[in-house]
Amino acid sequence: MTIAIAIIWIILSAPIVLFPLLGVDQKILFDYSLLMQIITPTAAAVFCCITGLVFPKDDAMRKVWMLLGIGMLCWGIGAILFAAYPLIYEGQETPYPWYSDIGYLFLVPFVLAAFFVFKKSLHVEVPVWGWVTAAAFFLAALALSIIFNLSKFADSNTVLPYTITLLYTIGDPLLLGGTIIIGSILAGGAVGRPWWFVLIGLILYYTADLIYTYLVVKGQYATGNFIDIGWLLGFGCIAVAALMTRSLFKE
Amino acid sequence: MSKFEDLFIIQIIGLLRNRKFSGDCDIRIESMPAHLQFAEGTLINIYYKDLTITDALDKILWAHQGEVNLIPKTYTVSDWDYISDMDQSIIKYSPPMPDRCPFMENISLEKSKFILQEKSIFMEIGQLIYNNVRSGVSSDITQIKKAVSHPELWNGLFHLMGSGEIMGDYGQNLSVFLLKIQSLIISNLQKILGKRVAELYQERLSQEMDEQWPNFPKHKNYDRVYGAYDRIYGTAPYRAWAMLLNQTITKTVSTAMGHSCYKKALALLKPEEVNLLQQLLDQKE
Repeated sequence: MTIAIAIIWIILSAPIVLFPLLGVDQKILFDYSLLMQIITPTAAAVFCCITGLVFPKDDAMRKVWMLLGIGMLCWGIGAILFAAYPLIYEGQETPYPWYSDIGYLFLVPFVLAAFFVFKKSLHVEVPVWGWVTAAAFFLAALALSIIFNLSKFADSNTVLPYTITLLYTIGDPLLLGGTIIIGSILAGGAVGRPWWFVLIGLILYYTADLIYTYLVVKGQYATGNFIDIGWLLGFGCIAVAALMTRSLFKE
Repeated sequence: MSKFEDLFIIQIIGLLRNRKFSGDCDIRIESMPAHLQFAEGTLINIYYKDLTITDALDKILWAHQGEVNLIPKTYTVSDWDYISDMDQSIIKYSPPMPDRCPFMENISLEKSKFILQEKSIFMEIGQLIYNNVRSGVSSDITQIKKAVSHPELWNGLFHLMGSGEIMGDYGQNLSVFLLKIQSLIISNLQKILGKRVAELYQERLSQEMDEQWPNFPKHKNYDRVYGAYDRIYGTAPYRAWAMLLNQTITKTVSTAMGHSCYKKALALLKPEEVNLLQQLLDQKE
């Protein structure tokens, strides 16, 4: 089932890259991307939650997957709001910052809370290589985020856009570092494998965020851009991770 | 004091004779203290509820759970022929077996260096059993039961174990059995949760076990099997070990993932092994 879902996910995400190559109308691409940005995080949220339900009611793992699911769902709600703007304002691109950013940003605390609960339930020390790799990933991602967001910071003339940009800049690197810490504890185990998928998903998500920022600053972004596939596949990887974990413990 | 279980005091007396113990053996049976004195393995005195020495012997011999503590001291050998008195007690008070202590069916028997006493009233059955216990290796009680079909089998066994001519040992079976389960759990933890979690489990388990059952000075020729505990405690250390195998998982991974590893390990056991583990985990009053 996991492989089938992964293949379906790739097939459904592929048009983002294929449509421009096939000369499909920009409006169709725009609508398709918006729709998929709502469907993929919501589907990932559903898979995370059904994985959580495999574990007993008070079990830490249930909380972990539920929190991940809620995080995905928040992003999905952000995407719904993002998609609603052009519908309300006659096809105009959603401005930055907008209410959709609240949904997008709420993914971070929920996913970090999931990591925290997971780490707490494993009474194992994080290996040195885990800390080192996590710190390296965090710092590298943070440096790139700062570089890509410099113009945004400069353009922020009020506290609100400045704060939103700051949260985006810090949030994604924190997610990457946190995933590596969890993965390093479980290295070599079957439960660790899904966490590497979560990491790949978050790298894709982070990369998409980064290029999105760059293109927005350059004034070259429009919904349906090929970079949108980063979010779709990122959520796909998290959904696959959820299903892999589910198959391990489903009895 | 440490617990002893599934072992009659008559067997403890035999084990202490075998190791030529000199000193005090303090026993607590249902909160009542009994004080036994040994000189070079020979029982020389018993203090229990103001009873005479033979009455006290009759009363304590058939307790099969309680607490025990050994304090080495030097005593002089007395002329009390306690083995004859034990034989009399076996005739009068030996309990219905294996009903009284079903776990005894899992004990292994081993010959000691003592020569069979010819003057015992259990000489005939004793000889039969003795001949069926192979030298140098342990024999299962079930094998002996098959080979020696005799109504006095258990009485003969009690005589041989009480006089130290044969030693009963749970370690031979149980330590190997529990080590098998332990390695299955560790292998599952490693497979599912990774090496670090498996290593932490192993470390915590031995730490907990050492806290509950420090392996007291190992006696000569006793610790051949890794993980075997002093025989005088019967199944008590193995029951603690069996319990800790599961409890330590919660202390290592406090989620259902840990229990899944435990369950998967148990699923690999044979039905009779699952039954044995269940018996070990059953708590007595």
